Amino acid sequence: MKLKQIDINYRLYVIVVGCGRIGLEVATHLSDTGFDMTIVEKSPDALSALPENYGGFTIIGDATERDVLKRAKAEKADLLIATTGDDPTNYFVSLIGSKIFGITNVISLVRSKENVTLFENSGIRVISPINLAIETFQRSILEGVEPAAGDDK
Amino acid sequence: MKVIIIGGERVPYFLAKKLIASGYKVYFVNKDKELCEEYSRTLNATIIYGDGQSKAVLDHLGIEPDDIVVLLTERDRKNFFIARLVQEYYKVRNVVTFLNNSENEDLFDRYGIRTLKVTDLIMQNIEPLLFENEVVEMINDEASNRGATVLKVDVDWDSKIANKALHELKIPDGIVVVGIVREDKYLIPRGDTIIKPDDKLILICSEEQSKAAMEIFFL
Repeated sequence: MKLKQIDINYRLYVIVVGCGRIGLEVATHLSDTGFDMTIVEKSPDALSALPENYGGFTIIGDATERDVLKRAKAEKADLLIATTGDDPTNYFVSLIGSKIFGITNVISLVRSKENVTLFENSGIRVISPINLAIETFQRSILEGVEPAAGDDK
Repeated sequence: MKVIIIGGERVPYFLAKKLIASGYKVYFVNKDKELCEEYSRTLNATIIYGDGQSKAVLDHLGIEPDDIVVLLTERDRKNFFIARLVQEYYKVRNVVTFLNNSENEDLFDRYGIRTLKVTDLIMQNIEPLLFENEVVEMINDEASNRGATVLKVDVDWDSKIANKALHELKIPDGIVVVGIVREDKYLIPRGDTIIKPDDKLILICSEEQSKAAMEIFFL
């Protein structure tokens, strides 16, 4: 009985690297949802854009440096989300997270379409804004085009 | 087999020259247009102007598994990314790179990327110098204005004290040699220690004896 209670009270701990437009939204949303959060961002200016009701921690520093991820308690993280604008940086941070700190779940933003395979082959879950946009467009276009009567599906 | 050098400024030039002289085919990839133009005039190598982080650029090179890839861009993360690209897409076995931040070595090792730890190499070279300075400063703090001074003696090849044992110098009371910095070691000297060229002697002497010390060690 007691064990179960601990399970229920366990909150997932998420580290978001990069506080750009996407990182900021993701972090704010996750903290609203009730996750324990830390944002790691190099520039103090970018952090100042966080809304006042953001309930997580912030760390100023370069997430590719070990002591910065240590300060973020990366070894305790359940999920790491890399959202910087630079694919090599996201890749590097993701692999330090998974291979060195042993974070089981790593998701990364991948800006360039051609890099998606490399990330996926390295065990990183990928969010590709371009691919998402393409899929969304395709879906909405296809929805608008009703198959004409008599056409094969 | 070809050698592909990505990034870097002057190192690739001299590296490429040596490799070409030994009969290797060299490819050089760089984002810097002027550098590429210069090297296309001065090096007998295939010069590619473009970003080595882009697979589209790398695809032009016809990279094969037994090629050697040398990565010299300025950031560890970039070098790592390119290393992984060539491993993943062209199955390259030998990748060598600079490593600025030595704590990243574990990640590079994990993927079998060879590293040259530049920062560590430089540190190893200056550490003895730093140590020597620290020793001098420390003794100086204690000794100065209390009747004693610290002197540092650089021993040259033609110095009269070179290749002599300390006891041969007949050092008078009030002068003590407290250390000899030799290459990367700090020696605690004894009477039979032989002074060698390129040694640095650290001595402490009373103010009255500083003139005598100068005569013994410098003149």
